[in-house]
Amino acid sequence: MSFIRTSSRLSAVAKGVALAAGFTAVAMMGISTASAQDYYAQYGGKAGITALINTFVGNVAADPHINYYFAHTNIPHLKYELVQQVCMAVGGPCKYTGLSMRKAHEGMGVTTAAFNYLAQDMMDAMQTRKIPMAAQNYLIAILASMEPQIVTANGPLG
Amino acid sequence: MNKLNMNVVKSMKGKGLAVAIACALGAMAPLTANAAIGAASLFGQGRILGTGAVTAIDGAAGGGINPWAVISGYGTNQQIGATAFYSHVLLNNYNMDAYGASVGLFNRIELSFARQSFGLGNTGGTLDGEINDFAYGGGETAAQRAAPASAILDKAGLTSSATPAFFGNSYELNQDIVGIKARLFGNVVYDQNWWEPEVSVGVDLHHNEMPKNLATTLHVARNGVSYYLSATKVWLNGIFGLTTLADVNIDVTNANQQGLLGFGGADGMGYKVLPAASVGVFLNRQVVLGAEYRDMPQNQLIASKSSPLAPLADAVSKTSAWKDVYIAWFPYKQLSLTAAYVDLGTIATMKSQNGLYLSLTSSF
Repeated sequence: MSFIRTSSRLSAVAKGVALAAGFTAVAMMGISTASAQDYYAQYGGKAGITALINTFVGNVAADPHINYYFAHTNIPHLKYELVQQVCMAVGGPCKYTGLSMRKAHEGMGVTTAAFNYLAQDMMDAMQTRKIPMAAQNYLIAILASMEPQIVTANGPLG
Repeated sequence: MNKLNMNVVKSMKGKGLAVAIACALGAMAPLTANAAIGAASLFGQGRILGTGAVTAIDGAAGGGINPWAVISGYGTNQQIGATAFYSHVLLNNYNMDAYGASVGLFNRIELSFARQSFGLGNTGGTLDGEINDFAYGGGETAAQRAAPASAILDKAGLTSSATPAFFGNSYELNQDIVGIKARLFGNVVYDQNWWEPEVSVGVDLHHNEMPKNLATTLHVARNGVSYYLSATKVWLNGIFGLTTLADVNIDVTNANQQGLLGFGGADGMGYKVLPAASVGVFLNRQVVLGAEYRDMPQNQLIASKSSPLAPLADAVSKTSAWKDVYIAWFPYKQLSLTAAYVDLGTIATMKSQNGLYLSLTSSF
Protein backbone atom coordinates (compact mmCIF):
# COMPACT_ATOMS: atom_id res chain seq x y z
CA MET A 1 0.00 0.00 0.00
CA SER A 2 2.71 2.40 0.98
CA PHE A 3 4.62 1.42 -2.14
CA ILE A 4 1.67 2.29 -4.33
CA ARG A 5 1.34 5.61 -2.60
CA THR A 6 5.01 6.33 -3.09
CA SER A 7 4.97 5.54 -6.78
CA SER A 8 1.85 7.56 -7.42
CA ARG A 9 3.63 10.44 -5.76
CA LEU A 10 6.61 10.13 -8.09
CA SER A 11 6.82 13.52 -9.70
CA ALA A 12 7.21 14.19 -13.39
CA VAL A 13 10.77 15.22 -12.61
CA ALA A 14 11.60 11.85 -11.07
CA LYS A 15 10.20 10.09 -14.12
CA GLY A 16 12.23 12.39 -16.35
CA VAL A 17 15.38 11.59 -14.42
CA ALA A 18 14.70 7.86 -14.65
CA LEU A 19 14.00 8.05 -18.37
CA ALA A 20 17.08 10.14 -19.09
CA ALA A 21 19.22 7.82 -16.94
CA GLY A 22 17.90 4.88 -18.94
CA PHE A 23 18.78 6.59 -22.20
CA THR A 24 22.24 7.33 -20.90
CA ALA A 25 22.72 3.72 -19.86
CA VAL A 26 21.92 2.66 -23.41
CA ALA A 27 24.37 5.23 -24.76
CA MET A 28 27.04 3.96 -22.36
CA MET A 29 26.63 0.42 -23.65
CA GLY A 30 27.78 1.77 -26.97
CA ILE A 31 24.71 0.78 -28.95
CA SER A 32 24.89 2.87 -32.09
CA THR A 33 22.00 3.43 -34.42
CA ALA A 34 23.90 3.55 -37.71
CA SER A 35 26.98 1.90 -39.19
CA ALA A 36 29.88 3.74 -40.80
CA GLN A 37 28.52 2.74 -44.24
CA ASP A 38 25.27 4.65 -43.56
CA TYR A 39 27.28 7.73 -42.64
CA TYR A 40 29.18 7.72 -45.93
CA ALA A 41 25.81 7.95 -47.69
CA GLN A 42 24.63 10.69 -45.33
CA TYR A 43 27.72 12.72 -46.23
CA GLY A 44 26.65 12.47 -49.87
CA GLY A 45 29.43 10.11 -50.90
CA LYS A 46 32.69 11.33 -52.39
CA ALA A 47 31.02 14.36 -54.05
CA GLY A 48 29.36 15.43 -50.80
CA ILE A 49 32.61 15.07 -48.85
CA THR A 50 34.51 17.08 -51.48
CA ALA A 51 31.90 19.86 -51.21
CA LEU A 52 32.13 19.70 -47.39
CA ILE A 53 35.93 20.03 -47.45
CA ASN A 54 35.71 22.99 -49.85
CA THR A 55 33.34 24.74 -47.44
CA PHE A 56 35.51 23.78 -44.46
CA VAL A 57 38.75 25.07 -46.00
CA GLY A 58 36.87 28.26 -46.93
CA ASN A 59 35.80 28.65 -43.29
CA VAL A 60 39.36 28.12 -42.06
CA ALA A 61 40.69 30.67 -44.57
CA ALA A 62 38.19 33.20 -43.19
CA ASP A 63 38.90 32.39 -39.53
CA PRO A 64 41.28 35.01 -38.07
CA HIS A 65 42.10 32.74 -35.11
CA ILE A 66 43.89 30.19 -37.27
CA ASN A 67 44.03 31.19 -40.97
CA TYR A 68 47.56 32.64 -40.80
CA TYR A 69 48.87 29.17 -40.01
CA PHE A 70 47.80 27.95 -43.46
CA ALA A 71 49.34 30.90 -45.34
CA HIS A 72 52.07 28.73 -46.91
CA THR A 73 50.09 25.52 -47.17
CA ASN A 74 49.55 23.75 -50.51
CA ILE A 75 45.73 24.08 -50.43
CA PRO A 76 44.81 21.64 -53.26
CA HIS A 77 46.99 18.97 -51.64
CA LEU A 78 45.50 19.69 -48.20
CA LYS A 79 41.97 19.37 -49.60
CA TYR A 80 42.85 16.07 -51.31
CA GLU A 81 44.26 14.63 -48.07
CA LEU A 82 41.26 15.84 -46.05
CA VAL A 83 38.75 14.32 -48.49
CA GLN A 84 40.60 10.98 -48.36
CA GLN A 85 40.77 11.09 -44.57
CA VAL A 86 37.11 12.02 -44.02
CA CYS A 87 35.92 9.57 -46.70
CA MET A 88 37.80 6.75 -44.98
CA ALA A 89 36.64 7.82 -41.49
CA VAL A 90 32.95 7.71 -42.45
CA GLY A 91 33.27 4.28 -44.04
CA GLY A 92 33.77 5.28 -47.69
CA PRO A 93 35.91 3.38 -50.23
CA CYS A 94 38.97 5.60 -49.80
CA LYS A 95 42.38 5.16 -48.26
CA TYR A 96 44.22 7.95 -46.47
CA THR A 97 47.93 7.52 -47.17
CA GLY A 98 49.24 10.80 -45.73
CA LEU A 99 51.23 11.35 -42.56
CA SER A 100 49.95 10.24 -39.17
CA MET A 101 48.35 13.06 -37.22
CA ARG A 102 51.21 13.05 -34.72
CA LYS A 103 53.84 13.21 -37.48
CA ALA A 104 51.96 15.88 -39.48
CA HIS A 105 51.78 18.27 -36.50
CA GLU A 106 55.12 17.51 -34.88
CA GLY A 107 57.05 20.49 -33.58
CA MET A 108 54.31 22.97 -34.46
CA GLY A 109 53.22 23.59 -30.87
CA VAL A 110 49.55 23.53 -31.89
CA THR A 111 47.39 25.00 -29.11
CA THR A 112 44.12 23.68 -27.75
CA ALA A 113 42.46 26.91 -28.87
CA ALA A 114 43.68 26.48 -32.48
CA PHE A 115 42.46 22.88 -32.51
CA ASN A 116 39.05 23.95 -31.20
CA TYR A 117 38.64 26.80 -33.69
CA LEU A 118 39.39 24.34 -36.49
CA ALA A 119 36.84 21.90 -35.07
CA GLN A 120 34.32 24.75 -34.89
CA ASP A 121 35.00 25.58 -38.57
CA MET A 122 34.29 21.92 -39.42
CA MET A 123 31.05 21.92 -37.42
CA ASP A 124 29.96 25.11 -39.19
CA ALA A 125 30.80 23.57 -42.58
CA MET A 126 28.75 20.45 -41.76
CA GLN A 127 25.85 22.68 -40.75
CA THR A 128 26.13 24.62 -44.01
CA ARG A 129 26.17 21.32 -45.93
CA LYS A 130 23.15 20.10 -43.93
CA ILE A 131 24.82 16.88 -42.79
CA PRO A 132 22.46 15.06 -40.36
CA MET A 133 23.39 15.65 -36.70
CA ALA A 134 24.26 12.02 -35.89
CA ALA A 135 26.56 11.83 -38.94
CA GLN A 136 28.19 15.11 -37.88
CA ASN A 137 28.79 13.81 -34.36
CA TYR A 138 30.26 10.55 -35.67
CA LEU A 139 33.02 12.49 -37.44
CA ILE A 140 33.45 15.11 -34.69
CA ALA A 141 33.98 12.34 -32.12
CA ILE A 142 36.78 10.90 -34.31
CA LEU A 143 38.31 14.36 -34.74
CA ALA A 144 38.09 15.08 -30.98
CA SER A 145 39.89 11.85 -30.12
CA MET A 146 42.85 12.99 -32.28
CA GLU A 147 43.51 15.96 -29.98
CA PRO A 148 46.33 14.30 -27.99
CA GLN A 149 48.21 13.61 -31.27
CA ILE A 150 47.74 17.13 -32.65
CA VAL A 151 47.86 19.53 -29.67
CA THR A 152 51.29 19.70 -28.04
CA ALA A 153 51.31 23.17 -26.43
CA ASN A 154 50.99 23.00 -22.65
CA GLY A 155 49.57 25.65 -20.37
CA PRO A 156 50.94 26.84 -17.01
CA LEU A 157 48.93 24.15 -15.17
CA GLY A 158 49.29 21.33 -17.70
CA MET B 1 9.87 47.46 -11.64
CA ASN B 2 11.84 48.30 -8.54
CA LYS B 3 12.69 44.66 -8.06
CA LEU B 4 13.81 44.35 -11.65
CA ASN B 5 16.11 47.32 -11.19
CA MET B 6 17.55 45.78 -8.08
CA ASN B 7 18.21 42.57 -9.90
CA VAL B 8 20.00 44.43 -12.66
CA VAL B 9 22.09 46.25 -10.07
CA LYS B 10 22.85 42.95 -8.35
CA SER B 11 23.99 41.27 -11.53
CA MET B 12 26.03 44.35 -12.45
CA LYS B 13 27.81 44.00 -9.13
CA GLY B 14 28.50 40.37 -9.96
CA LYS B 15 29.97 41.30 -13.33
CA GLY B 16 32.05 44.03 -11.74
CA LEU B 17 33.46 41.53 -9.30
CA ALA B 18 34.28 39.09 -12.08
CA VAL B 19 36.11 41.78 -14.03
CA ALA B 20 38.00 42.87 -10.90
CA ILE B 21 39.09 39.30 -10.14
CA ALA B 22 40.02 38.69 -13.77
CA CYS B 23 42.11 41.88 -13.89
CA ALA B 24 43.87 41.06 -10.62
CA LEU B 25 44.74 37.58 -11.84
CA GLY B 26 45.80 38.92 -15.20
CA ALA B 27 48.28 41.21 -13.51
CA MET B 28 49.76 38.28 -11.59
CA ALA B 29 49.72 35.70 -14.34
CA PRO B 30 53.05 34.68 -15.80
CA LEU B 31 53.64 35.59 -19.42
CA THR B 32 52.88 32.55 -21.51
CA ALA B 33 53.42 34.15 -24.88
CA ASN B 34 55.25 32.04 -27.39
CA ALA B 35 55.42 31.65 -31.12
CA ALA B 36 53.25 28.53 -31.11
CA ILE B 37 50.54 27.86 -33.66
CA GLY B 38 47.34 29.60 -32.72
CA ALA B 39 48.88 31.21 -29.65
CA ALA B 40 45.71 32.87 -28.41
CA SER B 41 45.30 35.82 -26.11
CA LEU B 42 45.36 35.11 -22.39
CA PHE B 43 41.72 36.14 -22.01
CA GLY B 44 40.45 34.33 -25.11
CA GLN B 45 37.58 31.87 -25.28
CA GLY B 46 39.25 28.97 -27.04
CA ARG B 47 37.06 26.12 -25.80
CA ILE B 48 34.10 24.63 -27.69
CA LEU B 49 30.61 26.14 -27.27
CA GLY B 50 28.77 24.63 -24.29
CA THR B 51 31.87 23.22 -22.53
CA GLY B 52 31.71 25.98 -19.92
CA ALA B 53 28.27 24.61 -18.95
CA VAL B 54 25.83 26.92 -17.17
CA THR B 55 26.02 28.08 -13.55
CA ALA B 56 24.67 25.99 -10.69
CA ILE B 57 22.89 27.72 -7.82
CA ASP B 58 26.07 27.56 -5.70
CA GLY B 59 28.00 29.55 -8.31
CA ALA B 60 30.02 26.69 -9.81
CA ALA B 61 29.95 25.72 -13.48
CA GLY B 62 27.44 22.88 -13.86
CA GLY B 63 23.75 22.38 -14.34
CA GLY B 64 21.10 24.15 -12.28
CA ILE B 65 21.50 22.38 -8.94
CA ASN B 66 24.67 20.29 -9.39
CA PRO B 67 28.20 21.49 -10.05
CA TRP B 68 29.91 19.55 -12.85
CA ALA B 69 33.56 18.67 -13.39
CA VAL B 70 34.06 21.30 -16.12
CA ILE B 71 35.86 24.57 -15.37
CA SER B 72 33.78 27.73 -15.81
CA GLY B 73 34.15 29.99 -18.85
CA TYR B 74 35.80 29.13 -22.14
CA GLY B 75 39.50 29.45 -21.30
CA THR B 76 41.81 26.70 -22.58
CA ASN B 77 44.88 25.43 -20.72
CA GLN B 78 46.60 28.68 -21.78
CA GLN B 79 43.72 31.04 -21.09
CA ILE B 80 41.75 32.63 -18.27
CA GLY B 81 37.98 32.80 -18.56
CA ALA B 82 35.34 34.43 -16.38
CA THR B 83 31.58 34.28 -15.94
CA ALA B 84 28.80 36.15 -14.17
CA PHE B 85 25.37 34.72 -13.46
CA TYR B 86 21.94 35.57 -12.18
CA SER B 87 19.27 33.01 -11.30
CA HIS B 88 15.75 33.23 -10.00
CA VAL B 89 13.71 30.38 -8.53
CA LEU B 90 9.98 30.80 -8.06
CA LEU B 91 8.50 28.15 -5.75
CA ASN B 92 4.99 27.70 -4.34
CA ASN B 93 5.82 29.26 -0.96
CA TYR B 94 9.27 30.75 -1.42
CA ASN B 95 11.45 32.43 -3.99
CA MET B 96 15.18 32.60 -4.39
CA ASP B 97 17.57 34.99 -6.08
CA ALA B 98 21.18 34.05 -6.69
CA TYR B 99 23.93 35.91 -8.42
CA GLY B 100 27.68 35.70 -8.58
CA ALA B 101 30.79 35.36 -10.67
CA SER B 102 33.62 32.96 -11.34
CA VAL B 103 37.07 32.80 -12.84
CA GLY B 104 38.41 29.74 -14.65
CA LEU B 105 42.20 29.49 -14.63
CA PHE B 106 43.89 27.51 -17.42
CA ASN B 107 41.04 24.97 -17.56
CA ARG B 108 42.34 23.67 -14.26
CA ILE B 109 41.14 25.80 -11.32
CA GLU B 110 37.77 27.49 -10.85
CA LEU B 111 37.13 30.17 -8.22
CA SER B 112 33.52 31.18 -7.71
CA PHE B 113 31.37 33.41 -5.57
CA ALA B 114 27.62 33.30 -5.18
CA ARG B 115 25.15 35.17 -3.04
CA GLN B 116 21.76 33.56 -2.45
CA SER B 117 18.67 35.28 -1.04
CA PHE B 118 15.94 32.87 -0.06
CA GLY B 119 12.73 34.89 0.38
CA LEU B 120 10.02 33.57 2.67
CA GLY B 121 7.39 36.05 1.46
CA ASN B 122 4.05 35.58 3.26
CA THR B 123 5.22 32.13 4.33
CA GLY B 124 7.31 33.74 7.12
CA GLY B 125 4.11 34.81 8.89
CA THR B 126 2.62 31.33 8.43
CA LEU B 127 5.71 29.73 9.96
CA ASP B 128 5.55 32.13 12.91
CA GLY B 129 1.93 31.07 13.41
CA GLU B 130 2.89 27.38 13.43
CA ILE B 131 5.68 27.93 15.91
CA ASN B 132 3.41 30.03 18.14
CA ASP B 133 0.59 27.50 18.00
CA PHE B 134 3.02 24.91 19.21
CA ALA B 135 4.64 27.20 21.77
CA TYR B 136 1.40 28.36 23.31
CA GLY B 137 -0.02 24.88 23.44
CA GLY B 138 -3.50 26.41 23.20
CA GLY B 139 -2.86 29.08 25.83
CA GLU B 140 -2.46 32.75 25.09
CA THR B 141 0.08 34.09 27.56
CA ALA B 142 3.66 33.24 28.41
CA ALA B 143 2.47 31.56 31.61
CA GLN B 144 0.27 29.17 29.62
CA ARG B 145 2.99 28.04 27.20
CA ALA B 146 4.01 24.44 27.16
CA ALA B 147 7.25 24.19 29.11
CA PRO B 148 9.45 22.69 26.33
CA ALA B 149 8.24 25.29 23.87
CA SER B 150 9.08 28.06 26.31
CA ALA B 151 12.59 26.70 26.29
CA ILE B 152 12.81 27.37 22.54
CA LEU B 153 11.52 30.87 22.89
CA ASP B 154 13.88 31.51 25.81
CA LYS B 155 16.83 30.49 23.69
CA ALA B 156 15.64 32.73 20.90
CA GLY B 157 15.24 35.62 23.34
CA LEU B 158 11.57 35.93 22.43
CA THR B 159 9.87 35.02 25.72
CA SER B 160 9.13 38.62 26.60
CA SER B 161 6.86 39.27 23.63
CA ALA B 162 3.29 38.03 23.75
CA THR B 163 3.31 36.71 20.18
CA PRO B 164 6.92 36.07 19.22
CA ALA B 165 7.71 36.53 15.54
CA PHE B 166 10.77 34.81 14.13
CA PHE B 167 10.28 35.88 10.56
CA GLY B 168 7.35 38.18 9.93
CA ASN B 169 6.59 38.82 6.28
CA SER B 170 9.19 39.33 3.53
CA TYR B 171 11.94 37.65 5.55
CA GLU B 172 15.09 36.75 3.61
CA LEU B 173 17.66 34.10 4.46
CA ASN B 174 20.91 35.20 2.85
CA GLN B 175 23.95 33.09 2.17
CA ASP B 176 27.36 33.71 0.59
CA ILE B 177 29.27 30.83 -0.99
CA VAL B 178 32.90 30.88 -2.05
CA GLY B 179 33.76 27.86 -4.18
CA ILE B 180 37.05 26.36 -5.30
CA LYS B 181 37.10 23.58 -7.88
CA ALA B 182 40.13 21.80 -9.26
CA ARG B 183 40.10 19.56 -12.33
CA LEU B 184 42.05 16.43 -11.50
CA PHE B 185 42.09 14.68 -14.89
CA GLY B 186 40.14 13.99 -18.05
CA ASN B 187 38.50 16.12 -20.70
CA VAL B 188 34.83 16.01 -21.64
CA VAL B 189 35.52 16.63 -25.33
CA TYR B 190 38.75 14.80 -26.17
CA ASP B 191 38.28 11.57 -24.19
CA GLN B 192 36.06 9.88 -26.77
CA ASN B 193 37.70 6.50 -27.34
CA TRP B 194 37.64 5.32 -23.76
CA TRP B 195 35.61 5.47 -20.59
CA GLU B 196 37.52 8.12 -18.65
CA PRO B 197 35.36 11.05 -17.50
CA GLU B 198 36.53 14.54 -16.57
CA VAL B 199 36.93 14.52 -12.78
CA SER B 200 37.12 17.49 -10.44
CA VAL B 201 37.05 18.03 -6.71
CA GLY B 202 35.37 21.06 -5.16
CA VAL B 203 35.05 22.86 -1.83
CA ASP B 204 32.26 25.31 -0.99
CA LEU B 205 32.72 27.70 1.94
CA HIS B 206 29.30 28.92 3.10
CA HIS B 207 28.40 31.82 5.33
CA ASN B 208 24.73 32.07 6.24
CA GLU B 209 23.66 35.47 7.55
CA MET B 210 20.69 34.26 9.63
CA PRO B 211 20.48 35.99 13.02
CA LYS B 212 22.17 34.26 15.91
CA ASN B 213 18.92 33.62 17.79
CA LEU B 214 17.42 31.84 14.78
CA ALA B 215 20.55 29.68 14.41
CA THR B 216 20.41 28.84 18.13
CA THR B 217 16.74 27.94 17.88
CA LEU B 218 17.27 25.77 14.81
CA HIS B 219 20.32 24.26 16.54
CA VAL B 220 22.48 24.86 13.46
CA ALA B 221 25.80 26.51 12.69
CA ARG B 222 25.85 29.52 10.39
CA ASN B 223 29.16 28.71 8.73
CA GLY B 224 29.78 25.50 6.89
CA VAL B 225 32.11 23.79 4.46
CA SER B 226 30.89 21.23 1.95
CA TYR B 227 32.88 19.09 -0.45
CA TYR B 228 32.14 17.29 -3.69
CA LEU B 229 33.76 14.99 -6.18
CA SER B 230 32.34 15.38 -9.67
CA ALA B 231 32.76 13.07 -12.66
CA THR B 232 31.36 14.32 -15.97
CA LYS B 233 31.35 12.26 -19.16
CA VAL B 234 30.30 13.48 -22.58
CA TRP B 235 29.77 11.19 -25.54
CA LEU B 236 29.91 13.48 -28.59
CA ASN B 237 28.33 10.68 -30.60
CA GLY B 238 26.00 9.49 -27.85
CA ILE B 239 22.40 8.40 -27.69
CA PHE B 240 20.71 8.43 -31.13
CA GLY B 241 23.96 10.00 -32.36
CA LEU B 242 23.31 13.10 -30.24
CA THR B 243 25.91 14.52 -27.89
CA THR B 244 25.06 13.09 -24.47
CA LEU B 245 26.23 14.10 -21.01
CA ALA B 246 26.17 12.22 -17.72
CA ASP B 247 27.46 13.56 -14.44
CA VAL B 248 27.76 11.79 -11.13
CA ASN B 249 28.72 13.66 -7.96
CA ILE B 250 29.48 12.59 -4.44
CA ASP B 251 28.59 15.33 -1.96
CA VAL B 252 30.15 15.34 1.50
CA THR B 253 28.10 17.82 3.46
CA ASN B 254 26.13 18.72 6.56
CA ALA B 255 24.31 21.61 4.88
CA ASN B 256 20.56 21.94 5.43
CA GLN B 257 18.87 22.81 2.13
CA GLN B 258 22.33 23.60 0.70
CA GLY B 259 23.09 25.80 3.73
CA LEU B 260 20.03 28.05 3.45
CA LEU B 261 18.93 26.60 6.82
CA GLY B 262 22.44 26.41 8.23
CA PHE B 263 24.66 23.42 8.96
CA GLY B 264 24.32 20.36 11.19
CA GLY B 265 21.54 20.00 13.73
CA ALA B 266 20.54 18.98 17.22
CA ASP B 267 22.21 15.59 16.82
CA GLY B 268 25.57 17.02 15.86
CA MET B 269 27.54 18.35 12.91
CA GLY B 270 28.19 14.96 11.30
CA TYR B 271 28.86 14.94 7.56
CA LYS B 272 26.86 12.75 5.19
CA VAL B 273 28.10 11.24 1.94
CA LEU B 274 25.34 11.71 -0.63
CA PRO B 275 24.84 11.07 -4.34
CA ALA B 276 23.88 13.56 -7.01
CA ALA B 277 23.54 13.12 -10.76
CA SER B 278 22.77 15.04 -13.93
CA VAL B 279 22.09 13.99 -17.50
CA GLY B 280 21.75 16.00 -20.68
CA VAL B 281 21.26 15.52 -24.40
CA PHE B 282 22.31 18.15 -26.95
CA LEU B 283 19.47 18.39 -29.46
CA ASN B 284 21.83 20.47 -31.60
CA ARG B 285 25.04 22.45 -30.93
CA GLN B 286 23.15 25.11 -28.95
CA VAL B 287 20.31 23.44 -27.05
CA VAL B 288 20.63 20.84 -24.31
CA LEU B 289 17.76 19.10 -22.56
CA GLY B 290 18.31 17.27 -19.30
CA ALA B 291 17.48 16.41 -15.71
CA GLU B 292 19.17 16.53 -12.35
CA TYR B 293 18.94 14.97 -8.91
CA ARG B 294 20.70 16.01 -5.70
CA ASP B 295 20.23 14.27 -2.37
CA MET B 296 20.19 16.35 0.81
CA PRO B 297 21.18 15.41 4.37
CA GLN B 298 18.29 14.95 6.77
CA ASN B 299 19.52 16.72 9.90
CA GLN B 300 17.33 17.07 12.96
CA LEU B 301 16.72 20.81 13.42
CA ILE B 302 15.52 22.49 16.66
CA ALA B 303 15.60 19.36 18.84
CA SER B 304 16.53 15.71 18.69
CA LYS B 305 13.97 12.99 17.98
CA SER B 306 13.74 11.97 21.64
CA SER B 307 12.90 15.50 22.77
CA PRO B 308 9.32 16.53 23.70
CA LEU B 309 9.68 19.08 20.89
CA ALA B 310 10.01 16.28 18.33
CA PRO B 311 6.68 16.95 16.52
CA LEU B 312 7.69 20.54 15.70
CA ALA B 313 11.32 19.57 15.14
CA ASP B 314 10.40 16.77 12.72
CA ALA B 315 8.14 19.06 10.71
CA VAL B 316 10.80 21.76 10.35
CA SER B 317 13.56 19.24 9.63
CA LYS B 318 11.84 17.39 6.77
CA THR B 319 14.15 17.68 3.76
CA SER B 320 13.72 16.24 0.26
CA ALA B 321 16.14 15.56 -2.56
CA TRP B 322 16.30 18.39 -5.11
CA LYS B 323 15.33 17.57 -8.69
CA ASP B 324 14.87 19.40 -11.95
CA VAL B 325 14.31 19.05 -15.66
CA TYR B 326 16.07 21.76 -17.64
CA ILE B 327 16.61 23.19 -21.07
CA ALA B 328 19.68 25.33 -21.70
CA TRP B 329 20.40 27.44 -24.76
CA PHE B 330 23.86 28.57 -25.82
CA PRO B 331 23.28 31.09 -28.63
CA TYR B 332 26.99 31.99 -28.43
CA LYS B 333 29.86 31.69 -25.96
CA GLN B 334 29.11 35.01 -24.28
CA LEU B 335 25.61 33.99 -23.20
CA SER B 336 23.59 31.04 -21.97
CA LEU B 337 19.98 30.94 -20.83
CA THR B 338 18.51 28.12 -18.77
CA ALA B 339 14.92 27.39 -17.87
CA ALA B 340 13.96 24.53 -15.57
CA TYR B 341 11.12 23.01 -13.67
CA VAL B 342 12.49 22.37 -10.19
CA ASP B 343 11.08 20.19 -7.43
CA LEU B 344 12.76 20.88 -4.08
CA GLY B 345 10.21 18.88 -2.06
CA THR B 346 9.52 19.99 1.51
CA ILE B 347 11.30 23.09 2.85
CA ALA B 348 10.70 24.33 6.42
CA THR B 349 7.33 22.54 6.81
CA MET B 350 6.07 23.66 3.38
CA LYS B 351 5.42 20.70 1.08
CA SER B 352 5.61 20.56 -2.73
CA GLN B 353 8.11 23.34 -3.29
CA ASN B 354 8.20 23.12 -7.05
CA GLY B 355 8.26 25.81 -9.65
CA LEU B 356 10.19 27.69 -12.28
CA TYR B 357 13.93 28.27 -12.43
CA LEU B 358 15.45 30.82 -14.80
CA SER B 359 19.14 31.49 -15.13
CA LEU B 360 21.48 33.56 -17.23
CA THR B 361 25.24 33.12 -17.49
CA SER B 362 27.51 35.53 -19.29
CA SER B 363 31.04 34.43 -20.22
CA PHE B 364 34.02 36.63 -20.94
